[in-house]
This record gives sequence, C-alpha cells and structure tokens, in this order.
Amino acid sequence: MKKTIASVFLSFIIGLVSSISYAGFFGNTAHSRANCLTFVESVTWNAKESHWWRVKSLHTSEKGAQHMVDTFMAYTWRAAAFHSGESNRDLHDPWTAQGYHFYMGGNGKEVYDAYTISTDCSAYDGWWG
Amino acid sequence: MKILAVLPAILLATSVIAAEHENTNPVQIGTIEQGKINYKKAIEWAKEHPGVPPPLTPEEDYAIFGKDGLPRPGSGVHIIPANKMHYDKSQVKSIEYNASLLSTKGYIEKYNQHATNLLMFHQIANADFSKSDSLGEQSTHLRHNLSDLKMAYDYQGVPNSLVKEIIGFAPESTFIKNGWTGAIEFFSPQEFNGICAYHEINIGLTGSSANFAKEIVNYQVNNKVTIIEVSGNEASGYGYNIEWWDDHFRHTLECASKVFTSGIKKQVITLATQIDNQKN
Repeated sequence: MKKTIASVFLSFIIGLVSSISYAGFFGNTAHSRANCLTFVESVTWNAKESHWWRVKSLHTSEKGAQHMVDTFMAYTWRAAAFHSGESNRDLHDPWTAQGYHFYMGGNGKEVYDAYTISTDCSAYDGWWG
Repeated sequence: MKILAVLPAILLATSVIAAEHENTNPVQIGTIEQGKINYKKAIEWAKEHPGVPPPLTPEEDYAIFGKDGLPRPGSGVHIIPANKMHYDKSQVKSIEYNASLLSTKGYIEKYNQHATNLLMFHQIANADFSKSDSLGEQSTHLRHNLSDLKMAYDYQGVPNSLVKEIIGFAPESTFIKNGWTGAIEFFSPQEFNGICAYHEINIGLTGSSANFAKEIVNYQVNNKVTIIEVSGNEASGYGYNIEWWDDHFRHTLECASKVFTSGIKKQVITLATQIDNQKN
C-alpha cells in the first residue's frame, strides 16, 4: 500500500514538473513518451491556449500487455492519456506509447491531428520546452 | 521547515493539475500474443514510416476509430450534416445557430482568449525571445527566422509581399524523424491593422483528416473546403479564423483586431486566398 502511494505521488510530481515547464508554447503539439520512471502517456497541448481535444494512447509492453487510455473530449490546454504503473522499473518488459491525437470541437469539427510513438522518456520531441 | 520550503511548489502543482485534463483509466486491448506482435511491429514500422500509424487489427481499429466514428488517418475530409455526426440535438442546434449568426451578424459574441493572445503577441514574443537563445531543434519556443526551424518538409511560410512585419516562427503538430510536420508564422499583414498567425500542417506527413458539419463549411478560399469562424467582444478583441484544406496541407489563418468590421473579415479571407495562391 505504501509502495502504491509512493508510486502515485512520484508520478504526480514527475508529471507536474513536465507539465509546468514544457509544452507546445505557441502551437498545438503532440507527443508520446514511454518507460518514464512510473508512467506512459500521450499528450496534446498548448501552453497558451485551451482547445477541445481527445487523445487515445495505446500502451504495449514487450511481454504483450496492451492498454488503451482515452481522455475523451475535453476543453483543456493539456489533454494527457496517462497511465501510471507502466514504468521502466522492469527493464525486461519495456513499453511503447502510441498516441492518436484528435481535435474534437462541439462546433462541427472532428479532426484527426497526428500519430505519435515513443519507446523512451528522453528529452526530445518538444517535451523539454 | 522542509515542508514549508516545498509548499509553494505543491500549491502550484495543485493549480496546474487542476487545469489539465488527464485520463488514467486503461482498457485492455487484444490478447497477450497479439500485444507481443504489436510491440515489435510498432517499433519497426515507425523506423520506415515516421508519423504514420502501423496497420491495426480490427479490434484496435474499432477501439481507436470505429467505436466513436472518429476520422481515420489519411481518409481525407468528409462533409456531413451535423445531425448525422455524433452530436446531440442541443449541439446540432448550437452549430446551426452559430452558422446563422456568422452569416447575419458576422461574428459570434463571446470572450476570445486566442484573440487577446494574438493582440498581445509582441510582448509575449519579446519575453520568449529573451530566454530561447540556446534551444535545440525540438524546442517549441519562438524563432526569429524560418531557417532556425527544423522542418520535416520544405516549409515556405507567408509570402513576404503580404507581410508588413514578421514577428516569429514556432513549430506545430509533431516532430518526426527529420523535423516538425507543421509550423506557425506570426506576423503583421500589409493590408490591415492587426496581428495574424498562419498555421500550416503537412497532411501528407501526418495523415490528418476530418469530418466537418455541412452547416459550417463553405468554399471561399480557392474553392477548397473552408471554415470561417469569427468571434470576440470588446473586452477580448475579435478573432478572424479561416481554415482551409487541400490534398497537401491543413491551413489556418488567424487574425486578431480590437474591432469587428465586415471589411476586416473580407480582408482576412482575401489574405487567406492570397497565401493559398502562392502555395499552388
């Protein structure tokens, strides 16, 4: 139980640090990341504006577990299909994150924006500002 | 004491998280054996097809697209009556009402944060330029010059003849193997007072596709699928948005002005058409 709480707290802090400091600062940008310390996620974001977005993120492990996380439609500056507990703690079972990014306005527009994939949590693809 | 030291960070964390939208509820898709195959397939596929999803099993396709009627990658633009889309009756009425407002009053009266941001863009840009000197090619911050933007294709931006002042360039969409799949140019136009942002996304690289309600579509930019949205009020200023699609790009021209006039609206549509002319 303590381990679970610690894991959730750690995810929260790491997710927080990334979300405060790093985002698409001027445009809407889409990203995925996997094998972070405690989570896998795909995100569409824009630090300056909110939009109606939906992100579906397919998380697949080398050992075959495969989950889909769905933000559903949300008006936000950061739509994150995020799952903690899929981490790099087990180095023998790494993960991929595949993000399907949509714009989903209630204004008559449904747009498939982009596909993103990542096998790591490295500092690239705009994550780090 | 240590808790007091980190308290501001925790409070900030709480406020930021509250403004975000996260979903952490996963649903298992397919069998373990299929998952093992998918893991390898996705990684190998991405090496040769950056930005393009791998072929999906019927179950995956249904979960990602079919179940919710979402547009599939590379499927183009579909124009559908609003009542045939996934909207309830009140949303359909709202779409119809907004379309009628745009054709009669010319704009929708509401606070427009995007317009406010654009009108303040010189200050925003100056603040960003002061801290973005040593950023890498994946940085999402502003650049002074188009040549500083690492693009995945030959991005041209807005023709100089239409621009009074270039404010800067920023990436958009996503970063694939060799660069960004879209970009924004922030500028002041030659023909009217205001600040504009021209967004371009290369749909040949991203496979971007769309379903649009018939009620919001016209063909004013060179007979291409076009959506015009104008909204704002005296407090925020007014945003004039022209979005148009062709086989190669998804284009959006956003311009902001402190006032609404039908003349500015016409000038923004003309500017969009002139930008498009240069792309053909």
